[in-house]
Amino acid sequence: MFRVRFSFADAIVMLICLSLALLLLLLPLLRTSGDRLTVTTPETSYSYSLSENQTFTVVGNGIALTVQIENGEARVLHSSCPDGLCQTGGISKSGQSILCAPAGVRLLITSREGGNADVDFVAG
Amino acid sequence: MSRNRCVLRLLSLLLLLSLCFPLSACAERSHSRSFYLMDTAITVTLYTRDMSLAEERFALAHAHLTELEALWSRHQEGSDLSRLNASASGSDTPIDPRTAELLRISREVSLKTGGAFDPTLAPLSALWENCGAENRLPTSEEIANALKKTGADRYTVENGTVAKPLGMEFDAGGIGKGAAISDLLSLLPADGITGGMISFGSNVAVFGEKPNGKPFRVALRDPKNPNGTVGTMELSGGVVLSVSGDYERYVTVNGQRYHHILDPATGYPSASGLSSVAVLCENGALADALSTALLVMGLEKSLALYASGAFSFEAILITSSGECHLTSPAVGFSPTP
Repeated sequence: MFRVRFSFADAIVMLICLSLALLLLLLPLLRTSGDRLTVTTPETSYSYSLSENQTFTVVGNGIALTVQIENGEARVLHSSCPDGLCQTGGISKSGQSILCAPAGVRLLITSREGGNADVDFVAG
Repeated sequence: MSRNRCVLRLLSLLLLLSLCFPLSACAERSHSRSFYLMDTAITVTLYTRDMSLAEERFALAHAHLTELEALWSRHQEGSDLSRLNASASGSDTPIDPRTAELLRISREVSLKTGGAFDPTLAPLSALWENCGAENRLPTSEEIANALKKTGADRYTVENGTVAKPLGMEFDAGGIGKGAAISDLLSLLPADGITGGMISFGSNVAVFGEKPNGKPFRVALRDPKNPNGTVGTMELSGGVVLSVSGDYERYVTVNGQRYHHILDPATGYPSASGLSSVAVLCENGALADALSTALLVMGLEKSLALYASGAFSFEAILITSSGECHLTSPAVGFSPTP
């Protein structure tokens, strides 16, 4: 059995670790605001936070598009459309968009400054 | 520094870091799934940390909607509506109680709105679609002939059975999605799911809470600018928001657009002075049907219907000139500056 005295350096290490733990705990809450991805189909619109990594399917005119949001960037992973033109790359800046004309689907990055950052859905 | 002290510091560092990751993983995640049913896209978003639970609820939603589509699609062979439409009188056609209830509500809305909502307009809608494909307007004679087959006051629903005149056809397009979204509001909540949002065409509803604790906010699309909005509002849990607009679907004849919401009184696209109507109601079927009815009725008659108390609802009515009218300040609508 050995005895160890708690030193100032130990306190610093503990403080760093606790700060890290707190930061990681609160990170999901801190990331809920910011730019959003607005998805418009011939039928309706959806709005997603760009800060939440997720993959989902959007359907327009019977064509299914698999959309991925990762690290603030949105891209079309897969589309059942024969053109496949929408699978060109990711978008992350406000105003950037991806359009799949056969599906009638548009992905648009909207800025929080645009006034709709807190909007969960655009109805109509 | 002793070797033991170094080992202890390293261990404490590893221990605390290992605690960090499970804590961050505890946050609720958003899971979304879209389907294409009832000729419309539906998206279900659930907030839960349990992905398998979300998948189970998505499957439940899909199964339920598929079941409703099999009852209410007028194009699906064997559905309640296709069998009713093919029947001479309807009374000899057994139907599901949910179909009978849908047609009963449809009739009630129709009667209380002076026929502004009519689930029997299928022959008229088909006429406009066919004429649009031929790039011509229907003649007044064709419209009069189509209108002879319509009229919600000409069918009855009693003891789960529908009686209708020969040639009358039902279409659940103006009410079925609202009814379905109400069903999902009952089916989807579960222990482990803290909240969710369901959007089905122009209908949207929420339940529970968002992970960040903020209220759900919905914006209304600007009828004149598909990329713009006319304002936002908070959406309460259990309330269905249904929107009807003259910009959604249309046929084009000689370059002129004719929208799909037809006035049962004239047989022509509604020209009431309203461009968009959003209805908030706890009954999704009512919200869906009323949004169409109010658009056809116009501003004054819509406000009179609200004041009469015939139905419990709130509404935002947007005129063709862009003015927003609320049935009451309780709607909490904030127009876009």
